[in-house]
Amino acid sequence: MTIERFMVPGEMEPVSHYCHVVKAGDHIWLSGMVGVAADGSMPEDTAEQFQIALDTIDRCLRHAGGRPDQVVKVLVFMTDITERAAINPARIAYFGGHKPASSLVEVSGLVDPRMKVEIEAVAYIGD
Amino acid sequence: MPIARYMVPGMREPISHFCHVVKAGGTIWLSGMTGVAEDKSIPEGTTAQFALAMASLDKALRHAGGRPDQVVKVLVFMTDITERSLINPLRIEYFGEHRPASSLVEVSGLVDPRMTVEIEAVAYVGT
Repeated sequence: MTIERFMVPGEMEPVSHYCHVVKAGDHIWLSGMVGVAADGSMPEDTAEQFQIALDTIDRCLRHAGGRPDQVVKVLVFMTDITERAAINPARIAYFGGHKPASSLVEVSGLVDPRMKVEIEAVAYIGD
Repeated sequence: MPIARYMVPGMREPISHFCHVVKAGGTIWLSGMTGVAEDKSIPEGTTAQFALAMASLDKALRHAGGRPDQVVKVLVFMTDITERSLINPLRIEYFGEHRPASSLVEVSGLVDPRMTVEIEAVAYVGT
């Protein structure tokens, strides 16, 4: 039984007591990722925030040994669900033919009031 | 592969059609736990509620054969995200060096209007 917990170099320091990604058996568990750029800035636009969040998911996923086609489930939080169409192009570009199971809900707040979208994911890397 | 579904003796009856914890393969799935005391009272403070929720989580996790260092993912819901620093000390104390992946969001309501925090979790115990 192995559980590996990763703090990924170069990623935003977790805002609380957690790590970026955990590999446990055949699964990779990714923390909720948000639209904070490497320089700490945050674009206003939801699509731009989502692209940063998805890029972060990708780096952390690969750091733990996974690939985009191995993502089996995502959970998306948005502060304004009427904007959900804005994030679809990035989802399509990233997952392609490997659509994960998904839930998407509107929440009343994310950890920073400027944040509009957050995504967490689970991947399966078994055979 | 068998799936074990547990109603944990002594724990509050689920308020809907679910069980406290499920063990499936090497993974343990914990329902969202809230700050309800054994006498069914709900303390006012978020810190006190979170302590009760974590105690329930721990009880259900151990009932299913898991340990705190095997938790790989948590999802925290708060009705006021500005209170998130209040729950950190207990997260640090409970998980220690075994930080899980995590998401934390603000929601507009939990099942009881007095509730201010809820936590669900996944643990990996291997096969």
